[in-house]
Amino acid sequence: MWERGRIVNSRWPLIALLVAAAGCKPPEPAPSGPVCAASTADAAPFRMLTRAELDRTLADLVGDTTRPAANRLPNEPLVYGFDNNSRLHTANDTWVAASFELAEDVALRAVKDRKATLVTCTTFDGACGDQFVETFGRKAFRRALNAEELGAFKKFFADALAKGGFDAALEQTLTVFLQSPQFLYRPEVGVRAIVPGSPARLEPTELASKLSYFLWGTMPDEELLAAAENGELDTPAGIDKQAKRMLSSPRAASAATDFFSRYFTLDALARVEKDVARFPSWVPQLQTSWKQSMQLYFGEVTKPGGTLQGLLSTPALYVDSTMSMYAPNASMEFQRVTMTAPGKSGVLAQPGLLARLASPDQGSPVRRGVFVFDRLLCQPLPLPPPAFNITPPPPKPGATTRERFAVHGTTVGCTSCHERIDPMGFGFEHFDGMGVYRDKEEGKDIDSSGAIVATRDTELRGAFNGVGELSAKLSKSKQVHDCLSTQWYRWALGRVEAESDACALEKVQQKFFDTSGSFEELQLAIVGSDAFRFRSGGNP
Amino acid sequence: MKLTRRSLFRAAGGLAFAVPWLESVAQTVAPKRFISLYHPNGVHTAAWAPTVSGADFTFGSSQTALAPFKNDLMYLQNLDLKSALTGAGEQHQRGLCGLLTGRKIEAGSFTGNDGTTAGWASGISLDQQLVSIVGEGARVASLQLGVHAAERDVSGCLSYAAAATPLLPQGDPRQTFARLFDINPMPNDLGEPLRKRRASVLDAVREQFGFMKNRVSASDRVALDTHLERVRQLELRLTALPLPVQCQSAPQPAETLWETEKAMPEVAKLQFDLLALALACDLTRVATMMFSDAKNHIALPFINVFGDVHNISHLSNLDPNREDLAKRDKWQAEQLAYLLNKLKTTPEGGGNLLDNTLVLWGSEVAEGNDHSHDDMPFLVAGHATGWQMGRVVKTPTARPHNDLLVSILQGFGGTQTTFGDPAYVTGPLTGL
Repeated sequence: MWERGRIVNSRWPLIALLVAAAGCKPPEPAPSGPVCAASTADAAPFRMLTRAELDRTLADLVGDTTRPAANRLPNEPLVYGFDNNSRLHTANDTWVAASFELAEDVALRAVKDRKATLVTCTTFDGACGDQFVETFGRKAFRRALNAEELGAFKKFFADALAKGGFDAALEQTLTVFLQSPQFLYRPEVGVRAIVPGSPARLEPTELASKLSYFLWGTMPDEELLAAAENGELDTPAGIDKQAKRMLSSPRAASAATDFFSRYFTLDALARVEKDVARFPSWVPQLQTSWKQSMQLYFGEVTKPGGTLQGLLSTPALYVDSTMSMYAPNASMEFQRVTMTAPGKSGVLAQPGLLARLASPDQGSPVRRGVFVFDRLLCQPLPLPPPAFNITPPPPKPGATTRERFAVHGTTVGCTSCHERIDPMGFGFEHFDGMGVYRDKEEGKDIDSSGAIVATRDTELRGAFNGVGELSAKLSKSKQVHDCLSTQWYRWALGRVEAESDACALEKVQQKFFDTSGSFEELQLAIVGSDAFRFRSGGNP
Repeated sequence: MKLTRRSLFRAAGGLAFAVPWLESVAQTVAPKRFISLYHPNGVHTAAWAPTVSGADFTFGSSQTALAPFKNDLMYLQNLDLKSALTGAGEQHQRGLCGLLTGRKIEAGSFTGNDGTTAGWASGISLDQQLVSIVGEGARVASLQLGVHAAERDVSGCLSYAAAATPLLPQGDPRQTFARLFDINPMPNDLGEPLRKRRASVLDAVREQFGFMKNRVSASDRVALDTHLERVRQLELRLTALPLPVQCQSAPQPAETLWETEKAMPEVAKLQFDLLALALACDLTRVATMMFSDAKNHIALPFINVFGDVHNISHLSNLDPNREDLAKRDKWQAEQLAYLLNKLKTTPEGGGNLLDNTLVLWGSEVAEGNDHSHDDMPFLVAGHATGWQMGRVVKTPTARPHNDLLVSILQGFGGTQTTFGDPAYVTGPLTGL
């Protein structure tokens, strides 16, 4: 077990824990605390491509944009909302059978529709097959094939050519490539360490894949692969240079949008249903529109220059005609609407999120408050005691949500948690159960005053009014910065941090905070960390 | 038109789907099948529990749909889900995790809803264990089906291939269909060359696994070996003799809004129909089906339950709104009755499919309002294990439900005397 426990909730203690890999120097050991030591944990199991990664890769590799993996392969289990956990995303029976079918389908379509992009020869013979195996193989395996791999593929192609002709050979060889472990997995074998058991530096092509799947969600482009082969990724400066180039590409915002889509559980929007008696404007099409709207928002706030503050306060809302209850005169296609008040701005004012964090018949201060604690502060709260009636007080004419939920303050056993949750959640009171902004409820003016109570970050605590002030407070908090950087670190490495990550993760968190929450600096800090560039535990 | 193997096969073969319930499918000795159904948040006990009167019993008021199958089923009482009493995670997660594994949740990588750190089940589930006993030779090793089961974490997983190796349910009937029929061996006219091609492709894939294995660490090699073994099994299935024509394909289900609450009855029916077809054609022998997730926060509008079922289950027994839970139980019983009817009306050998199937129906807590794991609601149906059905069996003293899991294993020919965490096994139940 390399997951040694949960450390994200501890504010990085003054004492250093363990060091992740070579080069991550521990601070001078405090006289009373434990010292950093090299970890022997196997923290780099190799990673199987997720459906999202496979689909992007197939688009880049063979021009297949039908999203075959999303359509065919089983769901990945989620850890903290992320689908790329290397320990859990494994090839079960269903996955293997479906990936076989996927490989057959993709190969069939590619040869039929895009043969000219696969092979450039004029004579379709064995030599052309050899050439295909070398050039295509290097792209598919994200490194040059070694001698035994080359030999096997060339022989396979030649045999198939003799039996069934060139197109059949091309299709079958492609099918083999797409099921080979070198394609499906991203190994991190590393360069053999001088001292057995000590951390090993990743091979340059392994690192190129790791960079590319993290920053772009897909395979390396030719420039990155060539840089790896030329030794340009052997130094932190070389990695930094490539990473900066990659972060300036629109692909980076697209990959960051994938990250935030998981962080904010956009897939769950497909299951948000409303009581139409209470919310007559609800239609099932909103499930899709909410998701697209939030993806467009994430796309905007993750462009170069994106920051935590931008995530929390950008005054943008994307609406199509299905979402006309959120902005009048919406057109068929999505359009950006600029919000006029801080209280209507930022990710916490997005209709999809607010509709999800609600009941079918009303808004939910509880779900909204819990969400902030759980996802933005990484400070989850316990469930209600088992034998409690936890049905939210039903809508009642003449009573506001805040008035009805006041029952928590007077019910023995509820208070200890709800005195934290509810003041946070009441800050969202301008938004009803659909996430529509309102100034009045049941004829009374909305009171969106709230308070942040009992957060680990003591500076964050205190009163606020509405989502605008809440977002402003959150965007300055070290705890929120640490939480987001921890989540991004998990996403980058495809695993939950272990104790041995403490040193590397603390540096990443500090960098994110010191650069005023810059997403680019955060991603650069992650790819520059020892945890990213080394595998611990050495190699076989 | 989307170009797939299946559509090519259809265009070439032009075979129409025929009702598959054929004697010809049945083998001399019919295979045994296991199905487990799960619904969350326990039951409304007063309406669920049978009333025992002598050797006979009367169904609870939510269970009357099962009356036609009285002699095919058995209620089991006094079984405790001991493995769920302690450990990581909260009560619902522990209960679901332990239901078929008889084990605790391992301390793991994410926060459970009680604020503690939870992972996944710490061992294999009964259905997967049974795959190794009765599943050999089936083309699809097992099915994990869902009806609005959507949580992709420990709250949404009933089946485990091994410790921390969740097999998540598939909720879209069209995906179930694809799983069953996309890689089905082709008929003889197209099939022989295709089978050979596929075999050579998979041989080449296996060779590549061999190259990779030589380079990686010991733990990665284990993962590769597991993957490779599944490729090998796939190859065996793909190169097996084709099924009878009638079982080679079936109409693809229409698209459904399978993620919505209101589609649950339609999705359940489609999933059950495909499951029954798969069993009848011997495409698979083991399946689990989850009706939503542990601690689901959904409404059931199709039976006029508009509140959140989990919240309703928390209500006290005296609260009139708790009756909605009995309505849910009634609907669940109707679902089971639909499946049982489907199996019983499918001839096999001299009898029917239900003769060779065991269905286990359970939940992750006994009652949602106290979250107890004592005297769990369990029902078994079918005759695959040869148990004497038509009874309520109450063990004289409380027994861990692992004992039931062991009994099922042995009923299917397993030689194991223990299953799950040995700390919760006292031995197989007697007198079944």
